[in-house]
Amino acid sequence: MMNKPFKERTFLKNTAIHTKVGYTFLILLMIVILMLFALLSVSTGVAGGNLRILIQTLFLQHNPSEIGRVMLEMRMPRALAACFTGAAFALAGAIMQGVTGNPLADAGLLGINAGAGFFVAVTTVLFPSIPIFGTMFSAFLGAAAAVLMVYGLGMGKQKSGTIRLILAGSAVSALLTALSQGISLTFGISKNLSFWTAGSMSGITWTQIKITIPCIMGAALIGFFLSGKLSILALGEESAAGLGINIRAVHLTGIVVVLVLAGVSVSTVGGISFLGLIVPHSARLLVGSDYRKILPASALLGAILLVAADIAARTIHAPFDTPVGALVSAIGVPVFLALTYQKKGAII
Amino acid sequence: MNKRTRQRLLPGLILSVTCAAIMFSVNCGYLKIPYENILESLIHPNSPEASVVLLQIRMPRIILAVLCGMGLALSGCTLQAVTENPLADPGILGINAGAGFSVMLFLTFFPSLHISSMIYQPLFALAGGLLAAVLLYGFSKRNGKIRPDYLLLGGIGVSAGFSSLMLILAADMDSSSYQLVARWLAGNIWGSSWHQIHALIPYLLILIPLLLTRVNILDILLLGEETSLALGVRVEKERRILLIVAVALAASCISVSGGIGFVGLVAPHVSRRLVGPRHSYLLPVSMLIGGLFLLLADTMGRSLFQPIEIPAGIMISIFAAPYFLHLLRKQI
Repeated sequence: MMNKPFKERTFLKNTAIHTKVGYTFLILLMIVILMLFALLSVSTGVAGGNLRILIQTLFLQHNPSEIGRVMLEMRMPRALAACFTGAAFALAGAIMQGVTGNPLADAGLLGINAGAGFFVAVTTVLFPSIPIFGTMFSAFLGAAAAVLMVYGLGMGKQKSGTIRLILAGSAVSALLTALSQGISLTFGISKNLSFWTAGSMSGITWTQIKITIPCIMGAALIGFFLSGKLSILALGEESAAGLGINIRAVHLTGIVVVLVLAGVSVSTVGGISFLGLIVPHSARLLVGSDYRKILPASALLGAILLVAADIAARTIHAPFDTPVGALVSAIGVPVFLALTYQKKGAII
Repeated sequence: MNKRTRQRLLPGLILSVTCAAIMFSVNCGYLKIPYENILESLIHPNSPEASVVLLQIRMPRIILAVLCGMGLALSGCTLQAVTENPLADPGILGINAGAGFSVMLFLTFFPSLHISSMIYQPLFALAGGLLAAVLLYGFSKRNGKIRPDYLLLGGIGVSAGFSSLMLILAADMDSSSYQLVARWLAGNIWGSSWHQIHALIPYLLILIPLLLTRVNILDILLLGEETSLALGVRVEKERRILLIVAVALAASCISVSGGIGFVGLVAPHVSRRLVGPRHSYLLPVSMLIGGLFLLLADTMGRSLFQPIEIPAGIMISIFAAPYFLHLLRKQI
């Protein structure tokens, strides 16, 4: 149901993690894990390499070896992209869950990924020489169009159930994904069909990264400023209004932040679903229901998950890339089903 | 035209439209064949003039499209009655994805069975489809009752799960099978040989008559569980049988084509508007309409942007997903 606060998970309420020290420790731990995964991601791969070569390449960069160049030109942008888009998808999910009160909000499930992908496909066809920034703007517009469609069609007259929104999201996704796939086949856009449904991290370049990262950072910062208000919003709209929150402003800012985060990420790595669903819920289990803690924890967890998934995607079938979104979905679907299955205290 | 005459005339009308569409579709493609030659090669299939393109590539594909459309539409129609959910469709409920996944497993792990793939492929598809259906059944049962909205929600999850497993599995294979899986997910009718038709037809010949003998039960089920019980229908048992038949129909079609969604959703709805809810009319009409739809979608996909082929599933989604949204908006 909309606008109902999440049930507090009391059984975790007074554990060590909920103290300030525990939280700081958790965040630090996650940062360390993320760094380790990122190093692992850059230093291993099909072409070989190890940590020593990486350090040599980074600090004695006069004449990088061949593997060193692979690391610098291919693996580093890839690892960074995984980091930042993972964080962005997770943040988008968390903020969307906070703003709409819909516990199943996720950029993939609500059709945002498909909308952004569709607009990217159209832009690539109509303006082949458009700078990356333009592509990202069109991804943002596409995400906005999809949100409008899903909410416009999914909101019934009397009750606006979460399930209806998910159904509308799946139909809008099916339509827009089909359109993007059709366009990419017809006009020979050099992306394979699964890019639109399952994402792909191959072939990410520094030029893309240089624009993606600032956009995500900016949107994430605004999101963090919003976090306190999201916690108050979780008490219910009336209470929030009574406490002096400008609900419309929070909704609007939140949605724009979500659209930027998801749009930019989709235009870089393609549609990755379920990340924005499972990460915030896991974060909520770890740090409680305060959005000021959930948002940073979600961002870090999302980054860790996507970097790890990317490493797995590159190593499972060594010379081939497994679509990373498929891996995330394979983890995400059971969580999705479990979240909707719980008999008592079910979230919808 | 009143309803009775419409119910009588429609099947014939749709059949003739389908025939016209087949004639049109035969000539859609890279190679244009004059109609005299088509007739010539159909009448004397062994004569040297008989076109290889026509007999070995186009005809099987056209027939396959019609057959798959029929099977999927029937399956969707049955599912809608059994689950009491007008939005049910083998694609949306994840049955297609389950069947596709298990066909994928079959192709990867049992290459030795390929010689007899005609027999085994549909069986594997059936197992996968049933697995998806069982998962879904368990998921959507709350307090002993199937909840229609959870059925759809679970279907979205199940289908996403199986699709992603398929993509993960496919990366193991070489690049061409990977493309195959990507195209499967997009819903391509890849079968262009008579083998697939031979594999499919026995299943359809068993399942479709089986379904047609149960039209009365389907009608009664529409009245709701309690009324059906009062009228002497063993609801649980009949539901299970009908569910298995519907899954089997969808799975056997899926084993020879791509994961095509929405046919099973749209065809019954269109037919319901034309002939009303009685299944003795509804089933045959939606079967014919399903075949016609898929044939048209495949033909359009093949000929709109030559030489590029748009998979039929993509074409169907483009037209049918808005219809699904319309139904969703109307329904609740």
